[in-house]
Amino acid sequence: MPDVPRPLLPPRRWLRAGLAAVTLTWAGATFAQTEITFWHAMDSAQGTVDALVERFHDEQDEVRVDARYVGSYREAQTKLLAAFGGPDEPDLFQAEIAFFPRLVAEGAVQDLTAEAAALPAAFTEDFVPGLWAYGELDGRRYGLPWNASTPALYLNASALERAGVAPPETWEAFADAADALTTRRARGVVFVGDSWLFEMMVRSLGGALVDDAGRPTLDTPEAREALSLLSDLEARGSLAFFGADETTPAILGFVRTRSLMAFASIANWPDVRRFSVAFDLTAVPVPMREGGRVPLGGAQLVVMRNATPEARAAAWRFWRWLMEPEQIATWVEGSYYLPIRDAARPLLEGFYAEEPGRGAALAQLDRAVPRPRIPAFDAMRGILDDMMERVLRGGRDPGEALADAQARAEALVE
Amino acid sequence: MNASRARALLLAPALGLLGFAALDAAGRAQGVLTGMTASPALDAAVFALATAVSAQWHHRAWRRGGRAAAWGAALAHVATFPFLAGLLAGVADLTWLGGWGVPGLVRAALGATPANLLATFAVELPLVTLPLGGLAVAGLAASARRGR
Repeated sequence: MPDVPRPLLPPRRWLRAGLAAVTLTWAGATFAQTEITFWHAMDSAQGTVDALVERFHDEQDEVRVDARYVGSYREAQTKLLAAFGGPDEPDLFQAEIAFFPRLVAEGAVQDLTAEAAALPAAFTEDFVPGLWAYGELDGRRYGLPWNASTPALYLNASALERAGVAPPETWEAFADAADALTTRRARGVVFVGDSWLFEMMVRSLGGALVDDAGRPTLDTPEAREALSLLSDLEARGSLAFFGADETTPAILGFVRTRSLMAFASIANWPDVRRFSVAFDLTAVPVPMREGGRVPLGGAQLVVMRNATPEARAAAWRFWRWLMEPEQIATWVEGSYYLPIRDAARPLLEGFYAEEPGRGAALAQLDRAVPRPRIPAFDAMRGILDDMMERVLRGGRDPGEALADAQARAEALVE
Repeated sequence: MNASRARALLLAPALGLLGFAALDAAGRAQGVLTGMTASPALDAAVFALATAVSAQWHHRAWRRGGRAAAWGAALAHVATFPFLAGLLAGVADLTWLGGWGVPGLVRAALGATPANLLATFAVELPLVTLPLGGLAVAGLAASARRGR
């Protein structure tokens, strides 16, 4: 019998040793991994959020993100308030821009100034002007930009073509267009009484809803002009009004061709586009007066107070990854939100060239300004919604309604 | 053409015009857009024509059919009228008010107009349109069966 050298370990032991090594490696990886919960309100872009999270997981093993859609912005706010301080509170939360200051004022979110200070200037200066500063309050960094939008004017291009009406660039031209498009089968414009859209009108006319000192300025000549314009159009039958919670029937009216112009966030483009099968759709920047502005919408990502230091670091890492140009490009293509960093724009040239309407919000980005960042503004939105309802549905005088809204807002702030 | 069909040809447009007037008035009162075209005259003509066409389609069932056939024809009239009137309105709109050359307007006229009329009949003003439909069916069926 030939002299066969004996193995160092018998085969069965090699197998055991291998299994043990694999188990230890897996266990090590598991222990080093941090899982964070991320609540967001991106309904139609849910698939894109999930795809980004999946890509993030593929590229690294240390952080796992449990992204959950928790309803609309308002529903997400309600759920967050219910989960405050409890085990269900998320680590990372997408706070709508008007809700964000309230979260900061209530001490519900973590101060990220230290992490932000370590960011290279080339990175922070690459953001759309005003957008990086959006997440700062009283010199401290609490919010991180992600999804930002501006309103746009959606048009039934087919109807405008037949009526010989050009896309309006001023509010005077807008009112004329609404009247010219109105017939017994369609109203010229549908308007949702949402505070953001009213702010859009006031801002574009050169006014503001809150002054630099943080005091409400609801009753201004610009606000009166905006509300009177809407009220007059409604009285002439050229405007269909829907309340702030009636976005769906308003959009339905537009896609049914019962109204031919509509204001909405540019992020609504994919939904409106999908259902606008009966006509050619386009979108243009909102009508503007010289020196006018347009309010930025969207949300800030915030790290909640109860997040552990590990979760906070993991959330920061995830956000930094989201801010890479490739990720921003994927996000914009899936959600139609604005490319918030200049570095992402070259990656999106084809996307915007494909359908000109997609670029309506981008075209007015140089005029975009943040929404008021005072804690009371979250409640002021309700006052504005109510005011529009009273005027455009209840027939109240715009001047009286604005004076009343101003008094209510002042009481709120005090 | 027999007398029964001739009667239907006279009665149906009148019922159509009555339906148009009632729907238009109800829409104004309740702030619901009911127009199919920009022209009320065109809408009125379409209602009259659609009722006449539908009456001719179902005339045989109402005149010679049994109870089941008559009920079936009545249901068919109510169910198909919005599509028929909407389609005719779309064609009339494109022909008289222009738009055959604009693809978006053709889609709106032939797609959105019938869908809008159906929504008006079934969702927005059913308390007006269902009694109107019932009245039209009763009138047309009774006229068809007269002198059987």
